[in-house]
Amino acid sequence: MNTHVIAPAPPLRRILSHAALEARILLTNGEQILVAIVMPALVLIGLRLLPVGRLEDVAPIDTAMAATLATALVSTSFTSQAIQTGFDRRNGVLRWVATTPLGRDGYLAGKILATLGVHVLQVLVLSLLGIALGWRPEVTGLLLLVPVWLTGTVAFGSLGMLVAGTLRTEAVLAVSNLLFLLFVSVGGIAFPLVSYPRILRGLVDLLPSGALGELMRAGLGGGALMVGSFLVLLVWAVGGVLAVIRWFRWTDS
Amino acid sequence: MHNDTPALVAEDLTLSYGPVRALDGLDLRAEHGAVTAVLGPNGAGKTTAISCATGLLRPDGGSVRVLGEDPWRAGPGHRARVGVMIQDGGLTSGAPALTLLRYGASLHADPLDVDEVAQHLGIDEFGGTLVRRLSGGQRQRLALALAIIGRPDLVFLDEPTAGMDPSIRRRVRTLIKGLARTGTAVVLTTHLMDDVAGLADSVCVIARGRALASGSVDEVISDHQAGRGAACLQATLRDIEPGSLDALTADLQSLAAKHGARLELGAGGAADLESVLLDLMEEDA
Repeated sequence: MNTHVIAPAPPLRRILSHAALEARILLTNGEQILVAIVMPALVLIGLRLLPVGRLEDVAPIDTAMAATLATALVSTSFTSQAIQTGFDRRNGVLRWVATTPLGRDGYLAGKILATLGVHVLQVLVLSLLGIALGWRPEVTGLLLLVPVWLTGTVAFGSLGMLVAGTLRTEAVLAVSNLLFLLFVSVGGIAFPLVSYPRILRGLVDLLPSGALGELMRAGLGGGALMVGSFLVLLVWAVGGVLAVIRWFRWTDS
Repeated sequence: MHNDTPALVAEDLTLSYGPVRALDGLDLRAEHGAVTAVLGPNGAGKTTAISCATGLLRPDGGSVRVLGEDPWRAGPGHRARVGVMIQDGGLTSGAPALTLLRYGASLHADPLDVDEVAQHLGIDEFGGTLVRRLSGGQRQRLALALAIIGRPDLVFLDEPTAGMDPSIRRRVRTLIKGLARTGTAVVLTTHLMDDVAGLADSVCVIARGRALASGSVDEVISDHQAGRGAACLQATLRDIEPGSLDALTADLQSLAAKHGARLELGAGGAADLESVLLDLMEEDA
């Protein structure tokens, strides 16, 4: 006779346990560290040293930090999650978790928590690097960026899940890395919209990366909150979640 | 403690993938404290049937009750009582083996002792190795450990001993028997007839999404043979003196001739079941 209690662990413990596993995998994988820390750090150093991506009346270190933190957000929310979830889907992990007490909801909740946890770590490391390079952040600007940060995480996280849940694993790798590079280089993250040719400006303005880049620069450069850009990011976030609900496939077959 | 209701009752299950009918009126039962083997060729519907029973797929028709619940609607409380080892492993490739087992245990309120399970299945030998660097057999052991770590009342094992070396396979069989002895219902799919003959209390042979035969191993074999107009009796004689082997064989032959039966000498069990399986497939084709 089984005298043990056969029951699931409490919901919060299950989710925290999954978040810890995901965060551990993210932080112990060399390629993921490259994407999460090294590439944003290169953006910071590049923009600090080269006379590009700057705005009039804004200290170069502020625009550089804005681009760096936006790059960090996209790297973890989009690229890392797309790759990790894509492999989990191919390896049948998404099927297996659905049969455990964690379930699909718990898997997603843990994943979001792990992403936010890694974000905090990225912000800390990159901020220290920024401070070493002369960045002096204002607390008000940083606080204004919290809703931007959360909306951006949802927008890029859902895009990452969409890539992971609809494409073959090989395609997930290629697409997520390519889009990451495009978002950062020509999608409005590394360079402000004013530096784009007029004809492209309207297009980049409507990209989630363009909106995020502009909002980060406004927040860290002491500019006014840009309602238009925030709405663009919000639409991407809501649309992304709806698209994931509609098209995400939990199995590879 | 369990009541008399079977751990798994599937009746008249149907499920189609587009034009392909994967399940076509499948009936399947599994009792507590017994090992039920689901047999059939590739594409017979074994994995689809298990997917329906574990809530991964919703059947188009028929009903499936697992521990008295509809697995499609069941919550975490139900899933804690059902252990699952899926065919492709379902293991996160970037985690070390033992970390993943501890994580699996942490999803349960009162799991088995992780170190004991790891030691029993030899997982401690590769505990620090990332899943993506494990061999097929090592992954199988880890997936099996994850399926049983929550002390399930019912465990589904999809080809549990595939890719394992003989000594580990023997250890795994002992473990599965032990699970059944303590009241767990074990449902396994396999292509290895040794697994079935040595392990299963009952079998269900399926092809094209339907059950072709079910019952205990002996029942399935004798029913099949009786259906073909002849019964079969199998005996094993042990402790024979080597010198009297010829005389015994002659006696057995004359005994068989007296009753008009054909005598076959040699190993039985697994080979018999395999031939039944092949016959059934042939008849169904």
